[in-house]
Amino acid sequence: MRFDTIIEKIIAAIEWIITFFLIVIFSLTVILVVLRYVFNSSILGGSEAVTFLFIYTTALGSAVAIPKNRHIRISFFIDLLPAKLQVVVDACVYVLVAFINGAMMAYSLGWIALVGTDLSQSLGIPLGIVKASVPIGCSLALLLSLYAAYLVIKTGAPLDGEKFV
Amino acid sequence: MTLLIVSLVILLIFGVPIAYSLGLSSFLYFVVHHPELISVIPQRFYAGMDAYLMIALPLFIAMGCLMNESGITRRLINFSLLFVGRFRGGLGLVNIVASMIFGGISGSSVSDTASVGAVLIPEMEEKGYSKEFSSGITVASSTMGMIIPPSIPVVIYALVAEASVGKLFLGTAIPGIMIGLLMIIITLIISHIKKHPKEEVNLSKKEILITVQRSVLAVIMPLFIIGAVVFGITTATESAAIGVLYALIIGAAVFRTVGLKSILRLMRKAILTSATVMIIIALSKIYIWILALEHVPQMVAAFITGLDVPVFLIIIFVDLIILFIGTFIDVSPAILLLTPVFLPAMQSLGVDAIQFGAILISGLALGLVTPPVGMCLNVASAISGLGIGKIFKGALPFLLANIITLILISFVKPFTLWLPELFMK
Repeated sequence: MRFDTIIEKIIAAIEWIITFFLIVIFSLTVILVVLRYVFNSSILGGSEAVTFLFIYTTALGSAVAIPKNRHIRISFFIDLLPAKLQVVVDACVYVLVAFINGAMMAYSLGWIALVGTDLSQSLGIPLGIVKASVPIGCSLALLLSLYAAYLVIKTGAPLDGEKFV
Repeated sequence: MTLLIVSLVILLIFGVPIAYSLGLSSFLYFVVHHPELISVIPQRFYAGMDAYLMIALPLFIAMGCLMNESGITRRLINFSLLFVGRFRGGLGLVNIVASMIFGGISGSSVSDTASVGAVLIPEMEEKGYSKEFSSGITVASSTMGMIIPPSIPVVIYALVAEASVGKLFLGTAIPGIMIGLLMIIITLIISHIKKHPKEEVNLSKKEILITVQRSVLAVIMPLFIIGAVVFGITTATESAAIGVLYALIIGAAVFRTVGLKSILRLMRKAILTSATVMIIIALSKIYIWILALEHVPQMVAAFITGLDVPVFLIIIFVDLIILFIGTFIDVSPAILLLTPVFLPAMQSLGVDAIQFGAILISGLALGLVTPPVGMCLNVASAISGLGIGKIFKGALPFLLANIITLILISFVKPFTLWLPELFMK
C-alpha cells in the first residue's frame, strides 16, 4: 500500500474514533442528567469518563487537523509573500509543528512514568491511561506534520486541506 | 520575558498555527531561562485539556450545526420578516433580527455570516440593495453571534477567568441585544435616506400562525439553555448536551431534514473544530503559567493602577488594546492571552470579572469584521464576491452600534451586572 494511502486511512480512522467519542460524550452526559432528575441516581465515574474521552478527542483531533489545514493561524502576512517563498515558509512551519510535538512527546514520557500509576478518583483507573493521550496525540501530530511538510515540498504549493476532507 | 513575547509574535507572523506558536515560544523560554522546569510543559498541556466545562464547546458547535442543517435559517428569516419586514429597509432589518436569534442558537459569528448571508445577501441584491450594504449589514450583525448567549467565547472566558457561566450568559445578554437594537435604528436611518424598499407582508392569520409555529421551536431553544444554567438545573456542559438532543429531535423528527449521515458528518465537524480550539487552550496553559511565573499579571496591574491618569482613560486604553489585538488574532486565543494579563488589573480598578468578560468579548467581536484577518469578512466575501475592504466599508455605519455598546458596558456597570445580580445573587 502506498504511504499516502496509509496516512489517509489513519486520518479517516482517527476521525471516526473521535466522532464516536463525541457521540459517547453526548449520550453519557444526557443519560447522567436524566438519571439525576428522573431516577435520582447516577453512574459512578460518568463525568470522569466523559472528561477522559474529551481529552483524547483533543489530543487526536488536533493532530488530524494538521494535514487538513484546520488549525487557526494568521495567514495574512504569509499571503503577501511570493508563491515560491510561501511554499518554503509553509514547509518550515510544519517542521516547527513537528518539532514542538516531538519535544512534548519526549518530555511527557518521563512525566507519565512518574505519575502514571496514580488512580483516578471515581473510576479508579491508572491515570497513565488518560495521560498517555499526550504522547499518543503528539506522536501522531509529529507524523502528520512531517507528512504535511513532505506534501508541501512534493507539490510545491501550500497545503490543500480539502484533500483530506 | 522579551524572548517569550518576541518569539510568539515572530511565529504568528510566519503563519505558525497559534496553538503551536504558544507551545514553541514557551519551549524556547524554558530552554533559555529555566531548563530545570521544562517538565512543566506536558503537565500544563494535559491540565489544559482536562477541563469538564469545555466539553460544552463541541456540544454547542454540534448544536449550532444541527440546527443550521435542519433548515432553520429560512424559517428564522420568515419569522423576522413578520415583525420588521414592513418597515423601510425591511430585509436589512430582517438580517439583523435573524442574526440576533441565530446568534443565540449557533453561538458563533462566522456560522451566522455563512448561514444568514448565504440566503439574504443575494436576496437583498435582488431587491435593489447595494452589495456593499447587504454584505456590510450581514457581517456587522453577525458580531452579535458571539455576544448573545449561549456563546462559545463566553464559555472559554469563563474557563480562564474562573467565572460563572450562568452569570456571564446573563451579563452578555443586554450588550448583545443592545447592539441589535442600535443596528436596527441605524438601518432605519440609512434606509430612510437611501429609500430602501419595504417588504410586502400581507399574510393571512393562518399563514402567520404557520410561520410562527415553524420557527418558535428554534427561537425558544436559547432561552431553555440559558435558563437551565442560570437556575442551576444543569451545568453548561449538560445544558449543551440537552441542546444537541433538542436540535436532533427538531432536525430528525420535527422538520425531518437531518438524517443519520448528516448527523455523523456534523458531529465529526464539531469535534474537529473543537479540537483546534482546545489545543490552543491546552498550549496557552503553558504560556499563561510562564506569565504567572514572571509575575506579568501583577506587573501589568501595578503599572496600570500606578498610572497618574483617570480610571476612565485606563479603561479606554484597555478597550483599544482589545480592539487592536482582535484585529489580528482570533477570538479564542485572544481571550486566552488577554484575560490573565488584564483581568487582575481591571479588577483592581473596580471592574467586575463579568463586566470585563462582556467588554472583552464585545471588543473582540469587532475583530471578526475588521481587515486584515476578519473571519466574517472572508465568509461574506466568498458569498458576495465583493472585496473585504468594500464589505468593511459597508459594515462601518453599523459598527457604530458595537462601539457605543462597548463604551456603555465599559462605564455603566448595570448593563452587564443587573441581570446576573437579579437572577443569581
